[in-house]
Amino acid sequence: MSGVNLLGTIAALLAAGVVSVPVAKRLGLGSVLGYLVAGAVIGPYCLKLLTNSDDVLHVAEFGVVMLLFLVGLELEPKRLWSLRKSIFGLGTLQVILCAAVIALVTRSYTGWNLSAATVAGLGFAMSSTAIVLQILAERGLTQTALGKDSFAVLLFQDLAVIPILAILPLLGTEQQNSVTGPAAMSPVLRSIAAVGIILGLILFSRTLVRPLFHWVAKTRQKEIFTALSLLIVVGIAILMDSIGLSMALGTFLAGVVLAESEYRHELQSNVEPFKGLLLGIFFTAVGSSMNFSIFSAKPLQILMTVFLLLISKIIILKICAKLFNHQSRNSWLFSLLLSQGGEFAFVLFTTARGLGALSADQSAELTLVVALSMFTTPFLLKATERWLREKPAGKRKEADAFDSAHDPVIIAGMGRFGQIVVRLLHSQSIRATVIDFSPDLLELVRPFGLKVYYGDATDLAVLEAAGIEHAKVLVLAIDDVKGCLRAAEQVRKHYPHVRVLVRARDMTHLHEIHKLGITDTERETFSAALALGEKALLALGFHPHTARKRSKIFHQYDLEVISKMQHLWDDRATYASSAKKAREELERIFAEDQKNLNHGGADTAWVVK
Amino acid sequence: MSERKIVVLFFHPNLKTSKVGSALSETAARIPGVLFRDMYGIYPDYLIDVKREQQIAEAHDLIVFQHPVYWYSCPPLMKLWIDEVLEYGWAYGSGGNKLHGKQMLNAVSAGGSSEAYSSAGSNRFEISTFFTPFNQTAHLCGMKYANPHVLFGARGLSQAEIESECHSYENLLQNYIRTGELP
Repeated sequence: MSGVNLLGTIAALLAAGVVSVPVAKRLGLGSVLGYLVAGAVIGPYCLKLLTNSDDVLHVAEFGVVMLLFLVGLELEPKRLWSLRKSIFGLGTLQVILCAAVIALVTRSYTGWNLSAATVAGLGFAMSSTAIVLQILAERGLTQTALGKDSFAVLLFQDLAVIPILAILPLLGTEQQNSVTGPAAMSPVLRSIAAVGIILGLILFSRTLVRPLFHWVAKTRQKEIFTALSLLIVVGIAILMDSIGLSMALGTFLAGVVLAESEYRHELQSNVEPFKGLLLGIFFTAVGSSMNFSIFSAKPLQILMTVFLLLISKIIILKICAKLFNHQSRNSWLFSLLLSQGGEFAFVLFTTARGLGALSADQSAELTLVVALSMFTTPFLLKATERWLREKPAGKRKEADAFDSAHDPVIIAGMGRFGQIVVRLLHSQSIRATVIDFSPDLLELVRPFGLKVYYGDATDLAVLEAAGIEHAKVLVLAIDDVKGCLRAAEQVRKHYPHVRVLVRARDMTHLHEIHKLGITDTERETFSAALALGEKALLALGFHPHTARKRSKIFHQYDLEVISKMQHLWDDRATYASSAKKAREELERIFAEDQKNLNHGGADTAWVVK
Repeated sequence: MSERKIVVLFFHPNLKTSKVGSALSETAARIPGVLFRDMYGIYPDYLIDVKREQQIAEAHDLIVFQHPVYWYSCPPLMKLWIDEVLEYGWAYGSGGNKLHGKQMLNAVSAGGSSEAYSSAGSNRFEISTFFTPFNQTAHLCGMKYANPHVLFGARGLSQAEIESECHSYENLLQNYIRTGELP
């Protein structure tokens, strides 16, 4: 691929996505279909802008790897363990039943030999992790029971890839010759290596990750942080690949291990954009790899095959879901969601062709069928949307259960100010997530069991990763005034339900914050200065109660003046003169107060006549 | 005569623990023509805005002090309100006639039973005896002091009893708005 060609390909991929995804979204079909259609349009059978889809596919498969890394980051080991029943029960049942039934259907419908039919069955038993997770995320279903079970099944499918690739040679007619490298390892050796790598990963995350991130974080160079995040993902992928494990599975496990690290949010927000882009390119490449010449040769037969395979898979999934106690609405959604063939099928068919288990024609036809089945999912969901939505289900409760995993308060900035806020909340047993970009401060407070995360809180992506969506209150106590305003504005705009409380650096900052419609503000020095002023009054012989009351009246009045002058803020000249007036007014009030003091013992209270 | 206006000054420092207090407050707050003020919410620092309170008092015909009975009297913020808002020259004394002709009502919830608040009971006096200072305060300000509206045994009430108490409180306020009469 020459340089110009590469740029041309990238331009074609990006342009196709930019045009078709918004259209697909507008039609309510989700981004996946948009990418697939875009791929088909720019592919070799239409506009011919993308002719090397295999190469592109290979690169873009890394999007799936990153996706699973991010999924892993969301799943702490504890939560993964709670999914074990779904993973091994539901997952096993689904893969075995689907593979068997689809193999039988294929054999009776096409008359292929047993090994070809078995490969077809195994390939089609898999679902598309990329499509399903993308759809779940777009619909906000990731953390529901439906989302968790779908994910468990997908995870099992990824695990199943390993034994399936191992038995594939048994189905083939050609002997494998001179296989070297990972494939030559015996299964026992491979398992040992896998366990070794996972243990190494755990060790790595427990001992090395923190100092490593700490060290990089101290440079305050965001791009180095991004580089480190990507390096970890790519490194683990290579390591897993080297022992013949699925890269996706490997990075998923790495994600789970790193889920407990306080740098999790930063990792998430760094990898997220790469994942999104690569997944988009991946879907586009799938779309472009569809062989329309096979389709035009026998369109009816192909469509019929797609139809038969989908129906068989949906029915089996529905039965599985039923056995695992899903409500009918959810079990239908589950079946439709997982009904398509997955990206792993492409790998499987290519490998099987190499081993002689499939003929070249069979492989091309199956690839087309799987790609077409990927097209159907958004349509199936759209078509059944109304029907499936009308029946209310206990979804609300699931969402609440998820909420409990999130802290109600996010504190951005863990300096001297933020620390006091956190301590007060902590004393009332209110959990808070803390974001700061000083690794030293985070080290300091970590032993107190707070959820602390390294990151730039002025970046909306970091706030999102910290769970702003589920928070009730955001406390902004960061030094960067411009960043603070930006964060406040973004949160107000995108998460209006979150109450934003701001520590203002000075009057300018205060007025700017008020201009955003945020009134929960506190100047960083005001209260302390007032308290010390009160002590000065005490030192001068004021009665403690009187001193306190003077200070409170002063505070009250000061707040009133600020709110009165807010609208003048943009016009500095007027502001200065009204500030002067305000001072005079204050003097007048205090003078009047003194008069009142002479009137009786206390300020305004009961006078005996 | 146009409809009478009521302001309910609600003094309860620990509303979270009081089912009755919350229920009665909600009842009062949703009656049209009643201005309901949660005073501990408005003045968490006990820093009462005297001028504002006087304006509000002047604009209403009936001032209801809704509060729990604490040590045979009222919670401290309410006493402070009386001390500070009822100023000489405004509420009483020379020129102090701004409250003349208005009514004052204590709507209270008491922990003890009505039997406890009797000469034979553990509290030894009628509740109206304990409220003599409020009665005289009203009198000094030229106000008519209504019979206290008392909910006895407030802690042990069932949900149904709370509802019925709310209903009777609502009737009392509604009736005043219409007729200007208090029991």
